[in-house]
Amino acid sequence: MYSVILKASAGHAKQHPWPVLWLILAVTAAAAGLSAVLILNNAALQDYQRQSSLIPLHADLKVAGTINSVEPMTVAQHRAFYSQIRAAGFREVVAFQRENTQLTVNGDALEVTVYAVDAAALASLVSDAVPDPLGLVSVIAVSQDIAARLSADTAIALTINDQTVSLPWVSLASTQDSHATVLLDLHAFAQLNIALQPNYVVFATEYKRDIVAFLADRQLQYTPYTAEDSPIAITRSFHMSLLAMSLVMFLVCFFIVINALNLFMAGRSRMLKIFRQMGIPRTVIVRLLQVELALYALIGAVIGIFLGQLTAFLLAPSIATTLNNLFGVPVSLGELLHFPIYVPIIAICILATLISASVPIKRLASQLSHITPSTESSLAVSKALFFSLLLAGIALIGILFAGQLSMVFATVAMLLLSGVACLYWLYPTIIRLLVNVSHRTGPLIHWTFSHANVIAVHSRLACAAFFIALATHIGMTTMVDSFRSATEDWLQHRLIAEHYYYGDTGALLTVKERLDNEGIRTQERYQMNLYWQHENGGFAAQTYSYPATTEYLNGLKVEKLLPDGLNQFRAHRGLFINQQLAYRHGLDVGDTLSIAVADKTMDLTVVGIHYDFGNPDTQVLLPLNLLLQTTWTYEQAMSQAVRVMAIHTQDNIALKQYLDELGLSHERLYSRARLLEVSLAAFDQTFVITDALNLVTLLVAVFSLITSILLITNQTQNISGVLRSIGVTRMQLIASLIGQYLIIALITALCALPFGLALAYVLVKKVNVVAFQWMFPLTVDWLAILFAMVTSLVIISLFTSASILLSQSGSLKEQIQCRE
Amino acid sequence: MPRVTGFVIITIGLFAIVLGGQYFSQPQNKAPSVLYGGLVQSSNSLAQVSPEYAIGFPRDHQPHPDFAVEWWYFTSNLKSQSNPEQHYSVQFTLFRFNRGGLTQSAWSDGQLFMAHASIHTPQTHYFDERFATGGNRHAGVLSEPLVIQLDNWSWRSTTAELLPARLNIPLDDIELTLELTATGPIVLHGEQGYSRKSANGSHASMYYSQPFIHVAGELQTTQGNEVLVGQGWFDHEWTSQVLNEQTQGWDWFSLHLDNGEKLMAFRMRLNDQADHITGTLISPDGTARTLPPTALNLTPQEYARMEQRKYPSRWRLRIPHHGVDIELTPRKPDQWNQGRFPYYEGAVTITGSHSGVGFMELTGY
Repeated sequence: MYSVILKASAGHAKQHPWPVLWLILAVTAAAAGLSAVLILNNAALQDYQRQSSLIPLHADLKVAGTINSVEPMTVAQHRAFYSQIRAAGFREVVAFQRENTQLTVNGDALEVTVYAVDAAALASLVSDAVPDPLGLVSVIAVSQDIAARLSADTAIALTINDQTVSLPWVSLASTQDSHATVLLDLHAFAQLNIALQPNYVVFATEYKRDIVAFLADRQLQYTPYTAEDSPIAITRSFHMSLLAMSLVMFLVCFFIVINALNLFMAGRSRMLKIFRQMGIPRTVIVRLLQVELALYALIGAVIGIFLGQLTAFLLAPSIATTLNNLFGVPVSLGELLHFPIYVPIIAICILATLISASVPIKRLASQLSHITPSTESSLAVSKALFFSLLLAGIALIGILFAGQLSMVFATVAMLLLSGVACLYWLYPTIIRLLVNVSHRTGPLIHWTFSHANVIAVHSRLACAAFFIALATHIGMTTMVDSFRSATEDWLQHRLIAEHYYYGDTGALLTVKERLDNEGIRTQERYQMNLYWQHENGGFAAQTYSYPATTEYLNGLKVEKLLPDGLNQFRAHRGLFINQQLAYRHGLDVGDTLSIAVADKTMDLTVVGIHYDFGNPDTQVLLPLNLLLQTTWTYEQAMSQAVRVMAIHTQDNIALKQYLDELGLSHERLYSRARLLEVSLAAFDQTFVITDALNLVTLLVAVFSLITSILLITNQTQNISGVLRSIGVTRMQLIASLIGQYLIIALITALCALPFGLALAYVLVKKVNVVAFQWMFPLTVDWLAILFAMVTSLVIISLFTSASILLSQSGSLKEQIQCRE
Repeated sequence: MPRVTGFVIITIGLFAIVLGGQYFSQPQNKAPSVLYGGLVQSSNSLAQVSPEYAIGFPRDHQPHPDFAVEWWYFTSNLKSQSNPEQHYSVQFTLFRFNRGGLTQSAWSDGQLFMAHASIHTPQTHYFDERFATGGNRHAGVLSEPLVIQLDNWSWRSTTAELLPARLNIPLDDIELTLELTATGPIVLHGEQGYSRKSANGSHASMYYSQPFIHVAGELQTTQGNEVLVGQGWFDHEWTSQVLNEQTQGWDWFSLHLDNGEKLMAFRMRLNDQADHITGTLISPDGTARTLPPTALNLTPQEYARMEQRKYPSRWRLRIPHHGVDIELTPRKPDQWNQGRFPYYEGAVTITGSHSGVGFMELTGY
């Protein structure tokens, strides 16, 4: 019995390959999008984990913060400080040094991160610390394939600061991470005669001690290590949005799967009916149908994963650039082979296919006995309106109150669902209106509008997919365009000088000296990581010098400014903070920030909040003289100079000549226009992935709608026959059918417009604030939106017309034949 | 939906979860669990104790880094001043290990220090263990004044001499501060401090004690402060032989008899020879009599179990020549220090021919 069904199914699939291919193709697309994103997100996560774990030592040890010296300290000073803080009872403070370097294994060089840690102090915190101070071993943790190449007599050497030393007391641990790490006792590390420049990690303990107070008189500062500061946290929004977009794509693909399944079931109905007439139980038929579908899903998922893996390899460089541009997080994305991810993706694809098949299978079973025409009752229409309003209300509450990224994403989902419900209300409402209007225009037009409602009911899943994709596209495009305009405007304000020179402190000082001699005005800036106090608590922030001249202050684009803010800044009574700092720590203009300087405290008013797009860090701006008061000497401040200097001259040729004379490269000299161009190119590159995914989703949705149309075209063959038999010409019928589909597509597109704009509002005003802590004005590019809408409609029209022309190409005799 | 679909869904779901779980599991590292395993290097390359060595103070309160291992060991039996029925006991030990192959670096002198702090209240046992590399001021022994310290645990004398001193042990939510004063002289064990630990002389250490310490102080807890008084015992010992591979462990006793006498006794358990039992009986004026193995009888009377460890919990100690026949019973049932190397260290009550209090240490079980 089973073999009969299987053979018959295989034969049917051979004879009618398109529904099967359609199904496999849809699953392939879904799996490709999802796997590409998951693979990239996983690779990024591995990079972040390596970066965020200051010391990857023990699962029980959570980092609370770090202590860093403000200025270079000698080893003797470090040892003295360490003894003081340990003797004061801060046993959670552990000295460590991290070096990214090369490990040579039998002559082959590997990139490696060396963690040298005071293993004895670590052993005071956890009983099974690695490296073990008592075991006398260093541990090299490497991937399994590298570990396989090592043996007891392998020569292992470290190269640090151009110095190569063989590594004693080595024990190996193999991990799934391909990046090699070396864990050493700090004493063993110091014995390798490598320059010691330790930092101090502070592990979280149950018992709170005031480290900041302890450090008050010392040249060291404590920086709390909050989860928000970790690369994982600051890039979460990006990865979530990437995942959300891939899920939208997955969802849209499964709308196609459902349509393909309907096509598939429609093709199989006659054969399955015969099976039942032969006495084969329904459960057997359903079970084998599910097995067959699972097989197709498996094939689709495997091909999809392969394509996804390929896509991940292709996109990795762009994603790495994006993460660096957006968040300042350098990632290598080098570990892109994640075989264990494949299994869940295959499982999800098979599960989703089986779940999608459950409704068509049920429908098929009922179709075998009787066919019930679908109509839209007025009650269902009212329900759609009710749900639309309800969901819109929930979305509104979300817009007003959501403070977490997950809640904001839920708001976005509510908004889109509200749009779908609205769409289901709009179809019958608008079509009924059209029917009423067309009452006296003739029977064919009247039928055209009446039948459009039937098509809307049959294709509503595909329409929903098209709606979601188009609304998302409009929302994302508007958000990115607004961001681009705001960034361009902001850059044009900020880039005051005609030229900028990038280089290390030494080069900048050389150039400055020369240009000063030539009477050319330059402006360098300095940066220090300072610890500020506010009534809400203390925080570390990058603190920059900023010129107090009118020219520069006008160049500072601000979101908020106190009425006499500029004067307070000039008078050394105030400071500017960026939006990121304001949002992260709940600060506003008029607030007071304090900083401990030597034996006194300096209180300064927040006079303005400035835009600082693309900066993942919090920032404080101070006049240079005020910044110098927070440190010891001008020379020490100079060592913290920002590696760019503004040069106020238009004479490009003379500048190049001076650089030549100083033996410095021209490549680091940028004109204002060039810098603007480079910055905006980096911006565009940042959003290239988002745009691509967005476009793919839209195309998939259009594809979904066309699939649906194909299905409905098949189902309306009988009606076409009837219409032709009562005298409707072929061209009239074709025009009528095309008109019906266009009405549906047009209603969908028009509905997507307001919801897309609402989505853009949420993305700009909520997602950006929650995820990046910056906000910018919403600018709508109507032309771009119109282009997306018209393009979608044109593609739909073309495919619809082609499909209808093909389906109506038969003779009248063929069309009036009764078909299944 | 047919049942098969449910089955397929659950199976695939479980499969995915199991595989996903395996993917995210991390390799584990296991720490060594042997007694002082790896800490003490081969004794041949290190300095050896000698009966010729003349111990002198305050010089020999200081570390002897050329020897493999050394410890400064303080134990104290205390009572609550407000309620003498409430017994407390305290242990503070600083160990120094010469890690042999590791010589001086810019960060450390290569020595490793380990400290143990144990406080028994009538209800609770507080124990903590800390490590630090040598050569830095927060760990080790300093002179003038004498400071025996690791992190913020410290024995701080007022001079280069051992006493008077203040012992301060802050743990996470309690803090112990004891004022220590001498009521008698320092005592050298064995042959002027050269203490044989085996019958054939293969094992020996330099060993002196200060058993006459009056202790008064305060224990601050979250429940309030408790004023404590009692007596303490200080040991300082260094060697390159005691902790070698032949050593199974030892049973050691420091006892304060109510008649004012002090008694130190131990049994060394060695792999290649008979147990070595010896001790020192100290009169109230500080006169020490070394007890040869023939003069001392130390016998387990009862065994107890702690997890997989069977250990002698009650002992009989006889010194027939001096009329001593006493039983030593633990004051609390479980007095194990659960550190990296678990060992027994706890207060005992003395009954029999004499009464008193003391400490018992059992290692290698």
